Amino acid sequence: MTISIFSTSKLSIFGLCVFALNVTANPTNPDFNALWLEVDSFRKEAGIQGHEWRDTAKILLGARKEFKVGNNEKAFVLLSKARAESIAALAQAAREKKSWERRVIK
Amino acid sequence: MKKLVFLITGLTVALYGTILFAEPEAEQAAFKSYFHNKFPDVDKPDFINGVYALDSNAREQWMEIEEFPPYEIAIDEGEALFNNTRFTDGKSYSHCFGTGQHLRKKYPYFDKERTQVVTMELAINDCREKHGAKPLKYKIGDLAKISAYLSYHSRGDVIDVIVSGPAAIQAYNKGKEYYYTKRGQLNFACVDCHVSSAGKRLRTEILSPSLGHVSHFPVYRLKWGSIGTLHRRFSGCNSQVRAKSQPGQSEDYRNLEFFLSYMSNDLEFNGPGVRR
Ligand code: HEC
Repeated sequence: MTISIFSTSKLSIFGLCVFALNVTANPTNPDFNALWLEVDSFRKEAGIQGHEWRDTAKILLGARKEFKVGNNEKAFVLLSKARAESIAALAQAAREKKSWERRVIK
Repeated sequence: MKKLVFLITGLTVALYGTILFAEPEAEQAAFKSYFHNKFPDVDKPDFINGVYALDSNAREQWMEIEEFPPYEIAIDEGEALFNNTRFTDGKSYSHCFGTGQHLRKKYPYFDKERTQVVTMELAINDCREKHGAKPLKYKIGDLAKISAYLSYHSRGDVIDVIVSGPAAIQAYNKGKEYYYTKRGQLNFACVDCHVSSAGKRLRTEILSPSLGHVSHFPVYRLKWGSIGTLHRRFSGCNSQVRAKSQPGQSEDYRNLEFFLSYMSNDLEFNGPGVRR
């Protein structure tokens, strides 16, 4: 899967809205698993681009654990944190593709 | 007519060649002179000593540690591993590496057939696998010890990495991109800490210059309490900025080592080393 910066940011805004709606509309039974998979796919894509952050995978695992034991609120807090990290990592990847070269010592 | 086409093709290839080669060479010169200008009081060959080339207090403590260097055991253990290991086919490391003397300076090199960078650590595991043995862990343990032994017997040899041909230049460029790219939650690139901030303090540590970074590995770190390879250090620096680190000998790390080693050409190997 390759997402361009444009579609990534569009996707993320869309995703964020859906996410917020889900959480507020029905806090006890939003589709956690689908959202989790989506965030994990963002994390993976950041990884493919060499920009995954250190703790994102751990946070995602934590989110799943909390959900399993019924701590839904905590699970969603972690999920949204992982989501923010993945999206920021993807944005960093896109930004760096253009800016790293400026730092080369000439 | 044929001759003319030949001549033009030849000239184009030659010109293309010089353009391709010119860049790494010019970049190496710029990299070195940046550090030479930033630290005019440091003797050029002394950059292999990292932070101890910059700070006299730290240097004094380091010299004291060097009187009974904690990496000595690793050299001895590495020697025993190198000489006494028999693979299931009856062969030993010497079938791949001869006596093991003056080996370090052959690495890293760009292997044109495999179209990838080969480091000394990769070659050690290649040797094992060729003779039916399981690969060793890349960042710690026996492989780091063998590397310590081999590095010790290459002390004083000169870093001489060759970047030639389009595929090698591509690997060099990838290593360069890795070096200059910001990563992790803290959004830092190698260059941010080891170039512009070299000599400055980060918490309890003084930041070393990237020039000479590869010369003295593997390193016994007091913080680790053991010996570790260069790629262990790379992953530590990735983690520090909260970026996901990579496995030892990943393609990125080998390209990075290739680039960094080329930047340090003409400096001496002085591994293994000891650091805080
Ligand atoms: C946030 C700052 C920071 C960043 C970014 C960083 N490092 Fe480091 N690095 C350190 C510190 C601190 C040390 C330990 C003190 C020293 O020797 O510089 C260190 C040590 C090292 C050493 C060992 C130096 C020696 O003399 O043994 C190497 C090699 C190294 N870093 C390579 C890298 C590479 C390659 C990158 C980019 C992937 C990188 N570092 C990114 C902070 C950083």
